[in-house]
Amino acid sequence: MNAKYAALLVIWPLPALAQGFAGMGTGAEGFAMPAPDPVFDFPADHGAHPDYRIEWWYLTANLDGADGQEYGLQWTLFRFALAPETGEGWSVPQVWMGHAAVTTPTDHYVAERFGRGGIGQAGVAADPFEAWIDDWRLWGPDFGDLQMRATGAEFAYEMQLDAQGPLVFHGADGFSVKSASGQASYYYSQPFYAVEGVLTLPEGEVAVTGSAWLDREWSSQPLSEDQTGWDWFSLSFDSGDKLMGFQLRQTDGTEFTAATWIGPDGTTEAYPDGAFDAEPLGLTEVAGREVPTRWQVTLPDRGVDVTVEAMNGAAWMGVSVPYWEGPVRISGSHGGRGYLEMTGYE
Amino acid sequence: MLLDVRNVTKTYPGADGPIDVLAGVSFTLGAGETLALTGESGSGKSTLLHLVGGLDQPDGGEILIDGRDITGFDDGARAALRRDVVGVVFQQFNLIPSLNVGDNIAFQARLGGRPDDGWNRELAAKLGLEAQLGKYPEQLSGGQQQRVAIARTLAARPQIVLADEPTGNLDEDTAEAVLDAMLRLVDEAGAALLMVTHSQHLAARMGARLHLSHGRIAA
Amino acid sequence: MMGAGLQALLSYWRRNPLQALTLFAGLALATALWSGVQAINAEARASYDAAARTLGEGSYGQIARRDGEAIPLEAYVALRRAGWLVSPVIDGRVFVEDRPLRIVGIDPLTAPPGIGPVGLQEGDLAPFVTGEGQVFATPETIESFGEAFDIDFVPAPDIAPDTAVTDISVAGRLLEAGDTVTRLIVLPEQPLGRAELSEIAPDLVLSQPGETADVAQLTDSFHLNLTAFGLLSFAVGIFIVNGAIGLAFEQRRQVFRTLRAVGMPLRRLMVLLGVELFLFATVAGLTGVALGYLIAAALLPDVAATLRGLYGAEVAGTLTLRPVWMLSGLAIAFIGTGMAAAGALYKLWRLPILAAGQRRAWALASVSTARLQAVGAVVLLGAAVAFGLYGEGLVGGFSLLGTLLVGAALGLPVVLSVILAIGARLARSAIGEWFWADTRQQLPGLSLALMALLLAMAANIGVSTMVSSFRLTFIGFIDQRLASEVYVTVDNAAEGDRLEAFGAERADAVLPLLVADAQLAGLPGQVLGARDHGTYRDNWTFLGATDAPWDQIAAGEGALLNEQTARRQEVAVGDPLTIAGEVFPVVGIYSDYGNPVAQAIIGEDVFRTLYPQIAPTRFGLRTEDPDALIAALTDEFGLPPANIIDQAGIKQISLDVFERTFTVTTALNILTLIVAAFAILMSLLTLAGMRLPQLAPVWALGLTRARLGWFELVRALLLAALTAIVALPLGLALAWALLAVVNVEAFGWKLPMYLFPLDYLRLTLLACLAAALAALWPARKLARTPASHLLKVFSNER
Repeated sequence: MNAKYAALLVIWPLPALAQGFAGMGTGAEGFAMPAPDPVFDFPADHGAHPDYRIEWWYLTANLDGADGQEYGLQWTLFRFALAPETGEGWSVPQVWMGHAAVTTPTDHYVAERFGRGGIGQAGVAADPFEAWIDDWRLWGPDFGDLQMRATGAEFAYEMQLDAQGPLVFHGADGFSVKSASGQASYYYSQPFYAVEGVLTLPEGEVAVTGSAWLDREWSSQPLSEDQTGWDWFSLSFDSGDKLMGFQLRQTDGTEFTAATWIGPDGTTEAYPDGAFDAEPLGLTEVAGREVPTRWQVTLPDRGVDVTVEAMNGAAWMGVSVPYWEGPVRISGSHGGRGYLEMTGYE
Repeated sequence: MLLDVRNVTKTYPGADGPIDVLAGVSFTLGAGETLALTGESGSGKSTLLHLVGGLDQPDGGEILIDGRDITGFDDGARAALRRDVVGVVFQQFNLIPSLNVGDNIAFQARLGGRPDDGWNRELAAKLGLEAQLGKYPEQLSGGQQQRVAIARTLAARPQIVLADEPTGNLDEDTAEAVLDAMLRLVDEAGAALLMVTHSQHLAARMGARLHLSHGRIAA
Repeated sequence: MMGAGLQALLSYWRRNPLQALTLFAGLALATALWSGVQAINAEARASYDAAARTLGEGSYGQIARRDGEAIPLEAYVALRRAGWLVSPVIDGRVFVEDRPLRIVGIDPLTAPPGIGPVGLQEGDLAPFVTGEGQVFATPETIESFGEAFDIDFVPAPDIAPDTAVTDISVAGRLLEAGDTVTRLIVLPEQPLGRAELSEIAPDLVLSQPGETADVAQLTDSFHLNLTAFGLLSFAVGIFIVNGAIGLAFEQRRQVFRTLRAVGMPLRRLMVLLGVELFLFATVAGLTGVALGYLIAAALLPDVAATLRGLYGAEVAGTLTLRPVWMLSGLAIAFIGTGMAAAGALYKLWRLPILAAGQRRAWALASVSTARLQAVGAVVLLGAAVAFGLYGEGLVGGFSLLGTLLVGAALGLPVVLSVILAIGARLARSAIGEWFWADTRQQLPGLSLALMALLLAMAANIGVSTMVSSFRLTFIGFIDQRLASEVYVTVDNAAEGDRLEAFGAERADAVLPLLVADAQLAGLPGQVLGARDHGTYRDNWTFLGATDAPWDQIAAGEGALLNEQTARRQEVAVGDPLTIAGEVFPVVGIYSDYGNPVAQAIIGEDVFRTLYPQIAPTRFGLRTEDPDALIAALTDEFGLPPANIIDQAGIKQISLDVFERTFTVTTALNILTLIVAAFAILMSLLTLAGMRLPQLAPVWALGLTRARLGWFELVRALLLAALTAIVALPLGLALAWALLAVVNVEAFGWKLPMYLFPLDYLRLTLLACLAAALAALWPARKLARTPASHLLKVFSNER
């Protein structure tokens, strides 16, 4: 592995890797820490929070092509702070990373970008909203009315996003606890985007429509030291209800889970540890390892007992620090579509 | 007297102290005379021949050739002596390997400034070498090589011919033929001949005979 | 048995210490020369590699500003935001007590993988990109510059000398780059749908990988010299070791016979000899490597200075012990020993037990060997002619060099033999005849050494002709290009007008340097506007031109084109050339050494018509009193000293560079000759034992030993002189191949070849002197041979 990537491993914030980074789990070094009972200030909070160590703008979309085919799409911007400072110039210690992907039933296209804050190459402005790295952008007059574009060596896309519902807040009003020992983040979503746009693929251009889900999360100490990775589900049922659920896998074989039930009107109910459950049913070998791409997902309180299966089991994000991220199909007690993200599968 | 050797001594360093190779040898040789030098191996006969030929220096005594004492000669004068007055036929390696037979025969005479192509041809004919003139020494047999050496020596018309076991490396028949030729030609040329040999048979064909034993003349 | 046998073999050396020393010295010297040259080349290459890694040049495209100025940060960000995957580099020099330190700042976040300092290991990015930052440099660089900076220095051996690599933020601070970067590295994989570069940043130009003037490629011409020396010293080394081992075997035949007679199996004897040779090769090889290190260490500062001055390539002036050349040095010691011993061992293998030391000079080389050599020479020289006529590319050039050298070496004995035969035919006296014939007879035994001498001399002639031609050409080129006494840069067009007015009064002439970018015969390049002045008319020489090119240029009726463009695009004098839509006939082709881009020159008036927007800011001023003019420009015109260049100073720097090149070349010349002389000495010593049966009859027939000794000396001189006669055309052919074939293939321009008869004469004398010195000892030994030794030849006692 080359030096640059080895170096980036270290500042990578995803849970599995955070374990190896001394200091990450315990906050300190002047970074701000999430606290309960948050009061959000919009549109300012759609922008960056350089006092916190990590932050992301994480969009996934399930799309139908004019060609009758299903597609998945990802647009993500991460921010890592090497120190809780910002400003202008090369020496600003804010590092940005972008991931973009398009998934078809047979192919999975990925691109990655890096840049530093302080020179205008990458950043997020709240009003009017713009998140960007290089030529990748997510922008619009307000958070509910956005355009989005990204390019890779083999693909490109341009999308229009139109929010059909309100923002939803996870955990306790956006304070999302991530472990029994109290690690937490600020976490809200806009899961109601209607999408239309054009995908450019090696085969040519294809018009698409569908729905998208945007997650916003920031923190300074995402995981506790005994957590090895996570499985995160964003499920949109045909009924119009939505379910966000995740489990954090722990070294002793147990899991810490949390979930949010989102009604069609945006009303939410948060579920504590243990209410949500996800059990692997089938594995796919991808990039030299086995990843669970078929799951039994249950939330008994809502009568949810579904099988979640990857549209393309090979949706492996072979970026500097790799993970799995791709569209899923839902069957069982509920039908629908969604997205699955899995980290920490070494 | 052509050659007058007076009380010549020669010592070589040896493992157990100096060895007296010649311990006071005297003899004379007149023009046209032939003399055999015989003796055991190591009796000093070859050394005596070398001294007479100016090839080596005695430690004591005098060697007079035509009345001149050559023992006082420097390197150059001795080289001139070898060119002009004496001619030597050795047992082997008489010839210059880089020159052909014709050039070898003519070499010493030309060196001494007395080239005589007619005489060279005559000698070659008498020694049966006409067919070999263009060849190089390594292409000749041992007997042929010695014949060339004799021709080369006589071509320079020396007053004294010195021969050191000239047939020592040849088989009996060849040796006989070579010796016949040499004796005949030396006689025709009127030169004196001093020949070292360990063969009684050969010595018997010479006009006189000198026997060396332990560096002295015995009887 | 082995122990006793080895003792018997080795005891020979104890009794012949001088010979042991000679063998040892010969082997060590050859190894030294080889490994010394290897060391210098390896060091330089390592420096280029480090530089290439440091720069990220070579395998990546680059973007720079057309005018060579820094690129604004906004332009970088604009390119990134337009989808261009480019990575910024800030590159510049700071001076610490007048010593320059190159600072290269990179952005590890956007740089292509593998660019930048090695050793940025896990956990090191944060300290690299934040706070005061980190600076990577070689330990030597840190030692000499570290104290001047309050920065965390990290040792990294693979970085170019006198260079520091750091984060772009640190470099920007140290170099006071402000909101600019020096250039951009273009990543190989780019996203879909990018806008054209010219749409985003019209000031910037993209050069594809390979188009940029590659330092290593330019310096190849210099390394060609060194490599030629390296190859030659290898060949010479093989010859010398061959001679030394041949002698050792020849003189010990009786020991071998005795050992076998007392019951040692032949196989074991061979093994013992192998062990002995291995010991020798090891000790001499190690000594040679150490000696080579000293040679390289002594020459390297000059080499480094030469490369820096000629090409701006930084090469460390200090030598590192690199396994590459140390191993290659040892390898040549072993290979040379092995090759030389193979023949001797083979002879021993086939030798009947009791075949005593019956040594014949003929045995050294049979007639069939000579015939084989002659055939080989004809074939190889024929191939050389074919390569010269039809060869293509660098491979063709080097094949030409190889076949030429080896063919000539093989042909040498044949040529010498013919000359000596003619000499023998012309000889009048018996001694003369014998001398020529005898010399000819020695030829087989001496031919290896003479081949070594031939190659050494040819290399000297070839390489010094090349270096000297290069020097003359380059100085002429500098004279031509830097004809003005003073060069001045001003800030803007208004200042330019002021300077013209000022110069009209104070200087003899003002020559504006008008430059514009243009497409020339399909290549991107520059067009220059020249004012009609004697400066150009008097100084410029052409490779090809019409009768009065400058008249046509002044009249705006023609254009001059540089050589590399003319060659590459096959443009000849008289052909049309389109510049800015206007068609000009080419009226002259000029040399433009080292310039990687196309260039054309047109008259000033037509230039100003075609490029009305370009106003000159650089000027050449002619004057007879440059000091006064510089003072006036500084005091009265108010120009900062940095904007004024004194031409004499630049020329002096160029000349210094060549003086250093000559130091290196001369030192290598002398060392090669010494090795060749050693080869001659070895051969003569080998022959000495076999010579007695050849010389004894001549002595017995009336030549003194002193005279024979003289003849030996004269013979060596004669052979050296004859070899020199062959070496001269060979060396010139070598120089021609280097200048006219290899250079054109490598760089696209041909260097004119100049001849230096006095140098060749001096070299011939030097070679004769070396040969005479080598023959002196054997000749003296012969002159003092006791008569008894000569007499033994004739008797049975041997």
